[in-house]
Amino acid sequence: MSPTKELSAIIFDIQRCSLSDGPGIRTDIFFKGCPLRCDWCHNPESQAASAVLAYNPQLCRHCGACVQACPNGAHTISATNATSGTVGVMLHAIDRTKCTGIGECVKVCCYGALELVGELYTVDELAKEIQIDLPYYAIGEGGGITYTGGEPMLQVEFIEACIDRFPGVHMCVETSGYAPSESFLKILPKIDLFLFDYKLTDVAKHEYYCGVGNELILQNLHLLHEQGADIVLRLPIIPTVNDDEGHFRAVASLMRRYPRIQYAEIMPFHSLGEGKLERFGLSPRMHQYPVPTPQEVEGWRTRLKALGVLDIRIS
Amino acid sequence: MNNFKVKNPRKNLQFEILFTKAYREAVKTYTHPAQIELACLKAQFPAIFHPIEPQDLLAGRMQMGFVGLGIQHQTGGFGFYMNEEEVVKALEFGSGDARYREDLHDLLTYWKGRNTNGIVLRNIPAHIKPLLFSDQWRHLPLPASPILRMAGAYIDFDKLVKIGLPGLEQEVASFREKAVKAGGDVILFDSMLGVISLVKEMCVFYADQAQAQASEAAGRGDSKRTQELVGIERALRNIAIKAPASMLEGLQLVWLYGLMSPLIEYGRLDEYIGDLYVHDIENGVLTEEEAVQLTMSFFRLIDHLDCETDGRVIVGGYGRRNPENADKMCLVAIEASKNVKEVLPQFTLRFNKETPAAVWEAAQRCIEAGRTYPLLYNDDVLVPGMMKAFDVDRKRAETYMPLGCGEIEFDHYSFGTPNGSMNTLKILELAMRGGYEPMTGWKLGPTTPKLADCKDFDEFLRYYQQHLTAYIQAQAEFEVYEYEITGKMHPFMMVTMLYDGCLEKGKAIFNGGCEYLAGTLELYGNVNAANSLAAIKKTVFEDKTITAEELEAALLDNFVGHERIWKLLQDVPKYGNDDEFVDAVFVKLHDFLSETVKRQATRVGLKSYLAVTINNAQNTTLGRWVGATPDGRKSGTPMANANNPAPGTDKKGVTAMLNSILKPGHDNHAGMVSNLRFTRENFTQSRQKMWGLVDNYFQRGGAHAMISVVGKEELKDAMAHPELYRDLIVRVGGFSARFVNLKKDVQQEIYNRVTY
Repeated sequence: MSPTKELSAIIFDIQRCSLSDGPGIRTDIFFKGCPLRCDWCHNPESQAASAVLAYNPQLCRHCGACVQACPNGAHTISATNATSGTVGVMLHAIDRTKCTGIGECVKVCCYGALELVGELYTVDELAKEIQIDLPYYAIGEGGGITYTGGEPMLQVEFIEACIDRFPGVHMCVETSGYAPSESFLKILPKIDLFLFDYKLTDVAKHEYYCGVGNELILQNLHLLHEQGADIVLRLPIIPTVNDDEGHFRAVASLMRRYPRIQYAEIMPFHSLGEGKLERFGLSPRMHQYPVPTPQEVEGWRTRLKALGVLDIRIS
Repeated sequence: MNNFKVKNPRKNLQFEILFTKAYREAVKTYTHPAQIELACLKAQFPAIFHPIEPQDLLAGRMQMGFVGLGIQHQTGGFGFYMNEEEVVKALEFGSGDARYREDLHDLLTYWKGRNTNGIVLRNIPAHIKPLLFSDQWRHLPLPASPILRMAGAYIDFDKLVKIGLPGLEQEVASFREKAVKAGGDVILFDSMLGVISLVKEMCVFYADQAQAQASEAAGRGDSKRTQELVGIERALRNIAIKAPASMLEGLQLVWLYGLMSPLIEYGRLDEYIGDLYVHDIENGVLTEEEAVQLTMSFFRLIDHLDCETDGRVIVGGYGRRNPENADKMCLVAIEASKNVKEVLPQFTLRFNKETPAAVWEAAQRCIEAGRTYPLLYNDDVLVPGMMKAFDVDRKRAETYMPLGCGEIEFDHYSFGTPNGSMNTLKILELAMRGGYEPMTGWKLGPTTPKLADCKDFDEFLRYYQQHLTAYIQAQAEFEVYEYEITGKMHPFMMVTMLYDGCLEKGKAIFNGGCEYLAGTLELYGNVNAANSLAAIKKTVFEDKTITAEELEAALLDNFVGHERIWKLLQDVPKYGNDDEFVDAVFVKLHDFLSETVKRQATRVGLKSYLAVTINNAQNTTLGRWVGATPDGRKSGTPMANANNPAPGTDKKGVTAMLNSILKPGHDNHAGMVSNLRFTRENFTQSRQKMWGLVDNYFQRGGAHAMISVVGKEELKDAMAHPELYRDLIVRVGGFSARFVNLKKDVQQEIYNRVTY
């Protein structure tokens, strides 16, 4: 047997006391890397597979420590509009093309303005973090671990190893469905619940808004259902994109075709992710989307009900 | 000073002048402190009473004077007191004729040397004075400060309600007879009888007032108010001559007696009113709604005392003699607390595995409504804990009562006034410098080598502990000294008459009467001190990334220009993240403090002397006088509150935070408080899960929780004043996080999203 390299994965967040990603109180593990590029994504920092540098201008004091620390010269701090007797406005610019994500600047930033999003974890290291939450899984109907991201299905080996550390704990995967079918088959026996996203019905629209088509997604949904997996269908509803009758009808038809789907869950668009684009130096969205009012969200539920989808929850 | 909530506050100091005159006469006429006290009470009542207000369903409002007789600062002052600042203000800005001003000048000079506070401070024993030289903790960088008061009288309301004034009178009279025969302190008993007569007179005083107001109300055709006032009048006339026979009479007696004592803790309401409440409901004397209204009026009257950190009303728990009736009253009290949206009373629920589901459910709804009350105390952790801490049996421990900010006593049995505060972070600041206070250059406490001269961490820790011990010992001695001097000066007869053992012994409560004279020491800064110790241990001694000299220089410069060092210090794990290393440092410090404080009791001659880690604004006020500290805390900024993590340092979320705060035990101190603050959204969306979380915390050994549920207005306030909302937990897209730790834009988004 040849020595295998220790399994590791880049994780960009561990959220404890998660209340809505599966039953009970959960620990959400956010993996980095996603094959989709959904325009409305509220976790855009999760898309790239490698670590991303986050910068929060509100916290920056322009001390210049990062400028000194970066071997690639990615940071510059300059004063603009300086007139005699004033320093002008300080500007901290980050050249993202020079940033390699090594995080030397983060190590010296003591104002919390710089943060490296995405940290390499071994299974041991992650298990230690999860250990903290074990006492809470007994609460109510029982909680557990939710693997999300990004696309966790790109990390099945790591997830499997992690699952083996916590026998008996409820395991949940939240997925876009866009991953090799073999991966789903491999991990299926160890997963108690799939939170399966269904975003858009029209293939061309799916390609336009998400960067890939939805054929593989639908194929995997079918596969999971055939194999007897427990599934919750999650519906990100983005006003002007997929709040149309055609998509709602398609959802209803999926729910009829796959009766073992526990329920459908509406995930209304929210703008929490907006500030992130700037903070992570990511390109702006193609479109702006209105945040739905609670009445609109209720209206979606009513429409889905009218189409025969009876068990609908709102996240 | 607190402002008593009365409609027409007095506009001049005529009362204060008359009180001074009465006191002057009394000390010329009498020699026994009880006689002097009685004379003072007579001067005070009814002079400081205010009229029954239109919404009151019970009689009794008052406004303590700027000079008078009180028991702690929220009752005007401690002992014979003068509010010098207010008297001077009246002289400088007030009006009045020459005679009035002459009297004020005289009053000022008369009381300057005679007020109890001054007498206590002037006579502090020489050997503790170098450490406890001032009580001006608001204004001076003090490592420890004495607190002058007798706080936390929980008298036997249950007995008072059962036997009434005539029963109490009889009991005192029979002990007087014994004292006559045995050569006891007859004057004390005579004075007590005088006090009871005075209380009866005050019943009649207010009865006459209610009668007069009733005829006025009848005159204007207000039949509802007329009826209410007639009821109040009848109750007052009845309790002057017999034991209370209805809920109204019971509450009226408790309120008037408490007001005159003066008390600011109102005991186990469900126990002492439960039987009368059930009697009234069963006999059609009151409807449920009327009982709630009456309790609400009682609560509003407690609120009119404006005594912030006190005003406790306790319901629920083991050790009530009438659990069934008490639990029924408990539900009425919870409903009243939900409706009276005031700061007081500090409504407290003691609960345990036998607490009826209906009570627990009602309490949850009250908390969810954003009332913060009831404050939750877990009997199943605290009863066994208190048995050990106080060395009492289970039966006694079941009568535990949190007073004020959370110090534990036993109902009408023990007295454990917190008469000292100690800033453990400030003391660390001193210990690092060998005992020098950096702002003033004072040399305080033991002389020890500076941090830079320590070979290893354990050596430094020993010196720090030496400093802590010196202050703890001084505080314990101060507590005893304060009791002794108070015992000689103040019989506090209204408290004495209803505290276990005092009548039997024929002694005033602080003059040998109290069965279990105890004491408590308020600790502040423990969490920051533990974080600082961990930082010193790791950076200076283990990793050697910072030298002691560098650390001292960085602290003096408030880290400015020492960013590398600041970052290294910040990166050391902090309490509140379920981190083994730093949590162990915290628990070790907490245990050292608790055990050292506990050991003082036998040395100084108290039944117990215990530490408390409680909730109030002192973490901010005392933090103001501590420079930058090795935990990365900037100069003058607030310290962590009670047992909660330091501001912004618990980065791993609620579950990790709860794991950390569950680590310290509860069997060697007299109270440790934990705060949790959630948004209403948490409960509207995930009610079961949130209560599951709270329940889990208690099952795993959580002793106490103060749970705040905040709405939209408070969120706005939290954005403007994050320092006041450090413990606010919000739901962010399905998970929970600390509001103040979130970026501004996310905060704004949550604010926009939270709609009620």
